[in-house]
Amino acid sequence: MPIDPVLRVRDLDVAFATRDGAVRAADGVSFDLTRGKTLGLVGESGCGKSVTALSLLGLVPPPGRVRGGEILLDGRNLLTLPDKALDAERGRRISMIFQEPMTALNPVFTVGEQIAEVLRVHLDATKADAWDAAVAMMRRVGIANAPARAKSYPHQLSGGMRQRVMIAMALICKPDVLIADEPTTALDVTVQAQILDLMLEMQQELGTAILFISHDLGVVSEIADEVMVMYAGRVVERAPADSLFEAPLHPYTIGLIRTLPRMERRAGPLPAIPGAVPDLRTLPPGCRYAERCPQAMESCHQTDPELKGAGYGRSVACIRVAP
Amino acid sequence: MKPLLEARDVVKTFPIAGNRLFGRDGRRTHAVDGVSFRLEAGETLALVGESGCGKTTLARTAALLLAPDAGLLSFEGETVSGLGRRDLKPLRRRIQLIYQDPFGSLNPRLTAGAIIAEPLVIHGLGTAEERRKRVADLAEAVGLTAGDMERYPHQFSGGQRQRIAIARALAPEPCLIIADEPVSALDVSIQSQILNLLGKLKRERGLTYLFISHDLSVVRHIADRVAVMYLGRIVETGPVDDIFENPRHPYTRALLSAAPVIGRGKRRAHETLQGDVPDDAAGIEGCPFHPRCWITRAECFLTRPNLAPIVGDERHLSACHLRDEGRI
Amino acid sequence: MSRFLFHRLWQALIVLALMSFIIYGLMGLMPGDPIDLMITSNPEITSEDATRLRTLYGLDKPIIERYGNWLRAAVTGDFGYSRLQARPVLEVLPPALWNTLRLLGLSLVLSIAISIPMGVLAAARPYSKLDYTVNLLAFAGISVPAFWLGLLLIIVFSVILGVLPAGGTGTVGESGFWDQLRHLILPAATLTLASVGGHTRYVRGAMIEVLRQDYIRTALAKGLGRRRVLLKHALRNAMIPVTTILALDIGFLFSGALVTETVFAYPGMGKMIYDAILGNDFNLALVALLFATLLTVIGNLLADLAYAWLDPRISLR
Repeated sequence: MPIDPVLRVRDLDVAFATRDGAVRAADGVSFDLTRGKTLGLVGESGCGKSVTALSLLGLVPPPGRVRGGEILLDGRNLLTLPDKALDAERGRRISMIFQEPMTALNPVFTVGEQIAEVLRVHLDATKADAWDAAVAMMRRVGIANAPARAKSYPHQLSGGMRQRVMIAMALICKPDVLIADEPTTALDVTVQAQILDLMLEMQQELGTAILFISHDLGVVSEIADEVMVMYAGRVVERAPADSLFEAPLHPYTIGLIRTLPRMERRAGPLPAIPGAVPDLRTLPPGCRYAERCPQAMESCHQTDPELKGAGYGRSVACIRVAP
Repeated sequence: MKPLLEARDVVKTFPIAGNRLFGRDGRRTHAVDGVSFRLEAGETLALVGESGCGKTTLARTAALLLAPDAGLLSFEGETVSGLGRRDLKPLRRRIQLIYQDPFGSLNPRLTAGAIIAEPLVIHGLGTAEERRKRVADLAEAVGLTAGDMERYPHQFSGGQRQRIAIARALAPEPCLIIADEPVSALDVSIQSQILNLLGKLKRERGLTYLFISHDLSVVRHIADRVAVMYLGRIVETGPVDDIFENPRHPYTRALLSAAPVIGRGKRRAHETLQGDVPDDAAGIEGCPFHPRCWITRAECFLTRPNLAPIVGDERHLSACHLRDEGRI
Repeated sequence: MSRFLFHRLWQALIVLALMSFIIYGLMGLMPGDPIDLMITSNPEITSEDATRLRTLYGLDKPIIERYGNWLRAAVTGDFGYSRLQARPVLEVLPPALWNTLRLLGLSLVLSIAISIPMGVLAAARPYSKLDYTVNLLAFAGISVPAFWLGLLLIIVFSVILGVLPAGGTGTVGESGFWDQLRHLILPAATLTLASVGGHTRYVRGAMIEVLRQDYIRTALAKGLGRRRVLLKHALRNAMIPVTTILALDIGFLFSGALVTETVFAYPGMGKMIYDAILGNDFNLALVALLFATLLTVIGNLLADLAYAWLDPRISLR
């Protein structure tokens, strides 16, 4: 029996107003998030993954604006909700954790206070109850000495601990959706492993759907059930994680995986992708990847491919693969 | 044959901001706590470790930017650790640095050409005409055009800025290049381009690299030898394949398990190293790693293991009491 | 903490001693002395009288010696006599000080009460019409000279409308609280209007800087609502630099008070310093100026203490 997705995003369109015109940072992005499952969103700088994530919570900074599409959380469109209603959802049914835990926490409040605050605002908890729950949550996310640590300020904690605090803050109301925007990029590799373990554990316990954004394919492969690859604002491929890494279909995905140095063995010169990501202000007509694509045909430079099904739960935006 | 760069028991400390009101309380943090290594000409030695392990401090000491508090540093057979500024200057030509942040390491007010020419100017190499020619050659060698030389750093992409930094490092014809996380800030598709470039330049010009990275897959790709650091000390060192396939120190093992690998499927929690890196090793008796280690014995709590070769392989050293008990 | 305070106290004493030397020297460099003033006001003083008077007052000795004498006396608490008022300096100071503190206190409170809300509102909606208006008013406040403003207020409220007194601290014959307050209104308004522009810009700037930070985004992501994020998360951080500046401003306001007090003939420290310098009243001027220095030093200390108190990342050293 198919499980209803808890979050459905359809044709999300986010643009930034610049002097050279509107830059479409995210163009027609659609995906679903299912309870208890993780969708990995991969891409390099400028691909639109962060902007997509921020738009889910209505946090796209000006001059950016969501220009179209739907974000349906259990049927309600977050994009059309009035501010107060959106505030009620944020932090409670849909939460987000960010990349830099040092700057993402308020330096003048204790970490316990910052976690407890979420409960006081969303669940009307009393100060004492909220504090106790915050300490318990800190313990749950693996912070040793939680009652004492709760009285610390962010700058007194290590990077790993701060990220655990962020996770505690995001999950304390047991949200349906957790968006993680490069949560481990700024962390050491052993700490990164701990945080990934923690996220998987909490997901098992709470059944939260996770949208995990990263530029690191290795990290994504270790945490995602399904993976979505973005390039220059578009989704170019989507597939279950295993199939994507074993047999990528889109030339960009193929190039990306091939170009990575491997820990298992040393290879010769890495097959690099020539050129660079196109400037979003001056996009070529046709497929955005065509300029760098080793398999580009004449028609690739003319038609912009759509994301089409390619069987087995996979979709690709490439006219060679899915015409 | 004499190694190009040799360190013996190098120590570098920094004062800790004490809590006392005035006057320091004399405590210092040992960023580099007795490190010895040899770097042979023509090889790439990778320094690996997490934050606070001392790799950056060690690199800066090797680059002659910091003077060691104790121990010996020698370059091309000559002792350099006690030298004064004037004597060090000609040596600086031979040792060059490439940094992690491609934007921060370039002067935003100079054109790319001026940036690349700067070391030549500082060391008084060549006439203006010769310098111009050299800059053009270097630009080509790193994949930039002559026209690019007139532009400013903010007009380039991250990968291109790193190419400028590399060209600048090559300008005075060094023999040793110390690269501190040179590709960590770059997109994956650009990272490979830069790694390929660094490999090519090394082969063409007979360079030696001291390469710092936290990314083990990058290290596997470019290094000949690896040194793993923890809390200011080298805990394991050896040829790259040995280290990756036959680690003889639990910390190395932990790093290898933690590094994300494509195709392994989802993580399994029991392999993960627990706990945080302590602030410094002072106050830990015995092996500094024992509080987090899962294979400790009695001696681990009492005596600090030395960095010593494993039985049967002179080139593979480990600072673990269990080094000879097989792969960890 | 007590070590920190002790350290600062020690520093303050050194600063005061140094300042006393400098001020004494500067005043000694000024042309003329009290005897010259006496001569101009009383043509019958002969040159022998002048010489005799100078010897009497010790004005013929070199300046270093005079300073030494003053210092010796000052250390024992004897700050000498005010020549103009013929009373010990320590008797003359307190009432003037009290007047100035009242004036400064009131205008500081008013300025804070206006600048914080205005700054916050402007920062919450940058580049909106409200923001532009606030900015315009702030610049007007900064640009307008205090004395001109004072005179303008006097013209409007005292002369044309006749509702507020033009100067002084109290009406002769009355001494009620309300009377004193009425006399404070115009000078306080002048001083406030002169400083509120700058303060508003500080608050706005600090808020804008804070609102750009990542933790504000996190707070919004937690669903706390704009108002709570603005007033609790943002303001608390913005207050750190603002408090520091306000505390440092205490010293500054003091000199602003000088102009205002003169315009309104308000007998505070500022006016007293002004009169004392012009009247060559060495002792009074010196001690009053030292007092101003002390206030600035205290302001600095308060700024550091406030900073350490508000920002948990800072510890006092």
